[in-house]
Amino acid sequence: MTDKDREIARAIWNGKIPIQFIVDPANPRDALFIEVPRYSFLPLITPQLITHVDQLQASEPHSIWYEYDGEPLKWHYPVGLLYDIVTRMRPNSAAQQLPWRILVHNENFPETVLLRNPGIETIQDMYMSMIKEADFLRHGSTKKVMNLSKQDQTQLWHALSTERYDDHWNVNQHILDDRGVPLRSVPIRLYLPNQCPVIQDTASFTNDEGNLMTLGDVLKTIVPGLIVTGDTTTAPDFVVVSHGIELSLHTPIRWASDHLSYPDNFLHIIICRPIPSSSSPSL
Amino acid sequence: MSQASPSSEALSSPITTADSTSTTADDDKDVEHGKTPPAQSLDELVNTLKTKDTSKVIVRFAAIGNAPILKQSYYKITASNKFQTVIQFLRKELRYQGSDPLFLYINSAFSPAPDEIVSNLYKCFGTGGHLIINYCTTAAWG
Repeated sequence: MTDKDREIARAIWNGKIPIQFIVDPANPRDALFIEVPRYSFLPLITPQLITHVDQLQASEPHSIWYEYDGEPLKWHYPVGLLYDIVTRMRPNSAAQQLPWRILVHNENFPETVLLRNPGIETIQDMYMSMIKEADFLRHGSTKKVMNLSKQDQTQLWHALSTERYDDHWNVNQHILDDRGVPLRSVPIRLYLPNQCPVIQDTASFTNDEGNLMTLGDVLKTIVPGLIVTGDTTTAPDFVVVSHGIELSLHTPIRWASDHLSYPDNFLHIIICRPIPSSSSPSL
Repeated sequence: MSQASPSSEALSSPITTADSTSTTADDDKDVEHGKTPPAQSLDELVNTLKTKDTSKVIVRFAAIGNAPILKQSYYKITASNKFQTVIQFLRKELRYQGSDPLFLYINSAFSPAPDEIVSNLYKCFGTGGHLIINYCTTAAWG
């Protein structure tokens, strides 16, 4: 990884979303403003809310859940992914105004919509499972993660929850080290509009001739209906977003996987309609 | 013979073909690899993708440690189900109470989130025509 590339990975890590956590909509002054890292998870915020908001002080962390505009927020998704989903999947959404206004609830947990038992231990376990799943896709086994010392495994999560990029990278670079292991599939998940189920499938880093694939090639492999072969002349009616950035379909997939993945080593890619008269930056 | 549940049905005979094409009959899907249908609008595409995948995935349950063993190890499960369905099905088959610990793994490697979709797991991690699910009563692979 060159210095320039490293800077990009670090900038992605440093991305934050200003959030206004509202406990009582009738009394908006009872709100807490926090800048939350895009890679972080809502259960990591819960203890801060319980400490600082009087109405929540008697609440069990497991009973707390979050809602935006009538939609319970999946606590096991990274915050940046949640934000991109709600802002990109519904154009003209007020969510495009910052801070992002999230309602906090401490009763009537929507068990049919959200996974139960949000908590720091649960999300830590889920994060470790995700990073193993990504390792399995990339290398065909979870050896890279399992060969880490217990201390290094713990450091991965600890670095994430304490916002230390270098501590995370120092361990994660061993997981992403491909020496001696053939690369298998790109760890990637696709999110589409209209409550489409999440799409995950195998796609190689290289084609049959051994040439590196682009993001567009990979999307074509996974969702053949999305892109016409070789058609670069007509503007597609969709954009591809991650970390709030519209990505070029020509982005080399290996580079994207190494620099634009979330700390679980998955590329979380949103495919959505372009925002009319978009002013958002693109890479 | 195990009781069939609404979302997952027990096979009435041992699997004779371990071929993934036993995900039968549903030839109306155009999301299969290798085909290049014309580009669709995003809305059309999403509608196609949202069509319930009624094909079946064969899962093979393998007990680890002192976990109780099922009467049969192969089951068919509808591909569009979430992994949660697999967890609930296994708990029911084992007559496990809500508080009894039970850990499920794919390929002796990792635990998928309960909202991951069976067809995705099969496409990514299926081997030899089925999806191997290991289960145990204590955490085995962290």
